[in-house]
Amino acid sequence: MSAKSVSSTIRPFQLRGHARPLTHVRFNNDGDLLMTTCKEGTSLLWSSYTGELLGSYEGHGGVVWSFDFTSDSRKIITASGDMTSRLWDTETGKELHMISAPSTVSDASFSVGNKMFFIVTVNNMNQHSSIVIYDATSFELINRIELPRDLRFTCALWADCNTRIIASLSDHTIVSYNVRTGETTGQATTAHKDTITDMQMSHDGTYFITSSRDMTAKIFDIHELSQIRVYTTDSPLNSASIDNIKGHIFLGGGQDASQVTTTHARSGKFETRIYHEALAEELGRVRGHFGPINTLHVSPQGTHFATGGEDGFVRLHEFDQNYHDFKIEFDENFEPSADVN
Amino acid sequence: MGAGPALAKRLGYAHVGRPFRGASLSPWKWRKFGRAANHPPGPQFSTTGLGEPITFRMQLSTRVEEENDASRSMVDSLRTNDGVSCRICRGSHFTAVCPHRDNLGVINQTISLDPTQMEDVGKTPAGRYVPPIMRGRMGAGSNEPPAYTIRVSNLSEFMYEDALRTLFAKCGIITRIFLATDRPVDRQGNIIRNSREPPRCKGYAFVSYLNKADAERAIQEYNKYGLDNLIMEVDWARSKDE
Repeated sequence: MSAKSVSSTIRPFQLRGHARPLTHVRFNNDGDLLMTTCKEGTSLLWSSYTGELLGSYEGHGGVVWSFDFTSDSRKIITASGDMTSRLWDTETGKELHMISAPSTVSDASFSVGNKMFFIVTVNNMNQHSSIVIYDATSFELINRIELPRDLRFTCALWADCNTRIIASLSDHTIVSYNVRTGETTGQATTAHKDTITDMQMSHDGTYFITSSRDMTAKIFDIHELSQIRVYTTDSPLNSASIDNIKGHIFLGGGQDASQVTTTHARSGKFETRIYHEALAEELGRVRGHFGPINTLHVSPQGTHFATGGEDGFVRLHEFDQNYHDFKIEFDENFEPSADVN
Repeated sequence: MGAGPALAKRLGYAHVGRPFRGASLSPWKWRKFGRAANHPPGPQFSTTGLGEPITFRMQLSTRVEEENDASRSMVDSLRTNDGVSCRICRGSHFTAVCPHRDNLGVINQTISLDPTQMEDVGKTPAGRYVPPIMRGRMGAGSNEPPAYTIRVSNLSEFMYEDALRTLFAKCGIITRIFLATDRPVDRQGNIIRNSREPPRCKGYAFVSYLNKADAERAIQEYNKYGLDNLIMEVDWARSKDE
C-alpha cells in the first residue's frame, strides 16, 4: 500500500451572512446550492459555484437548528427553536406551510421521494421528545414516536426505503424504528460514550456516519446497526460527512466554545480532518476557522465542501485537481489490518 | 412459474446523460429574494469574500506505511521526501509531529555516526568548529529538499517580493524567493540607515519551486514576458560549481 502525497491549494469563499454560530450547512442534491442556518434564526441560500447570496428565508422567530432540501431542491423544510417547522419554496423564499410543535423542533428531514417528512422535537417545556412523521402533501400526521421524559432525540435519518427511521438518543445509543408501527427494530446500545452530534447517510443509503463528543466518528450499517469503522481523533467532534466519490471522511469539531478563548487557535484543533474511509487513517487537515466547526458537508458530487463554525463564518471550499488526483495504490496481497474497528 | 430465465427483450440503447450542473433548477436565472432581493447579479463584497489560500497535504500517515511495509529497512525509510522534512525520520512532516520521535530518536543518533557521514566531518579542518550550515556545499545543506530554482533577470528596480510571488505562484508551489536588493544610498554612496524608501531591486531574483514541472512551466510562461516596460528573462539558475 502506498500513496504519492499531494499538496492541494484551495482558496475558499468566506460567506459572511450570519452573525451568530452556524447550526447546519448542507448542499442540495445537485450540489449547486448551499444553504446555511444559524442561531440568529436566519436561513441563507448561496450558489456553491460563485459563492453569491441568492436569498434568505424570513419568518422564523428563533434559532433554526436544521433543515432539509427535497431531492429536486424545490422545497426546503426548516426546524426552529420558535417551536415551528416551516416549508419554503426554494426559488422565491415564500413560506408554503407552517407546522406548530409543542416544543423546540431540532431536526426535520424529507423522506426519499419527498412524500413524507419528519420533525424532531426535544424534551423541554414539559414535553416528551418525539419524532413526528407527516405526509408532505396533505400534512396529515402519519405516526408519532415518543421517548420517555428524561430522554431526547439528538439526530435522525430516514433509512431503508423510508421503512425505518434511525435516531440517536441523548443516552448515546442509536435506535431504529419502524415508520408505520413505531416499533423498535434495532438498537446499538454502546454506540458512543458521549453525545452524538451529527449523523449523515452515505450516498447509497446502506451505511451512515455518526460524530460524537467522545472524539470518535463511526460508520454503522443501517440494517444491523453494527459498527463498521471507527475514526479516532483528538478533539470532540461536531460533524462528520462522507465524500462518496473519493471515499474520504471529513470530520469537524474542536474544543468546547466555552474553552476557546483560553487557548491558542492552533491547539483548539479547529481543522477539518480528512480520513480514508476504509483504512480509517488520517490523510490531511484543512485549517481556516477561528472556533470549533459546528457543521460540515461535502457536496454529493464531491466537488465542494462547506464548513460552518462557531465563529459565525461559513467557508466554502472547492477541491483542486490535486485533491482529485490523490490515490492510494494497493498491493495485490494487501490485507487490511485487523484493528480498524 | 418455474425457474426459467426472465423474459426480456433488448430493444435498443439509450444514453442517459447527466447535465453538467443543477439538474432541476438553475439559480443563475433566478431573481434574488429575501435579504438579497436588491443585490445585482454576481457575488457581493458585503457577503462573499475570498479567504486566504490554504495549502494542505494529502498523504498516508507514516504509521500505516511502517506497519504494512515492515520489510523495508529502517535506513531506507529515512529518505527525504519533497517539501517539509522531519529531522528525526526524514519523513515529509514537521519534526514536532513525528510519530517516531520517542523510539527512532535514539536510533537516529547511532545512524549519524555511520562512516559516510563521518567523512564529511573529517573534511573540516581539525580542531575547528564548523557550523552545520557551512558543512558540505556552501549554505545549502544536503538535507534540503530538491528545489528547482529559476533565475529571473532584467527586473525593474521597483520590483518587490510580493509582486514576484503573485506572478510566479500561478505556475506552482514556491518554496523560496530571493530578490536581490540594494540598500538606499545617498549621493556620496553611503548607506542611509532607517530610510523610509523601500530597498531597490538589483534587477534579478531567484524563485524555487517544489516541483520541476512547475519550474519548467514558469520558464516557458514568463521568459520574454513584459513587465514594467522591461522584458523579463527567465532561465534555470546555475549553481556556482557549473
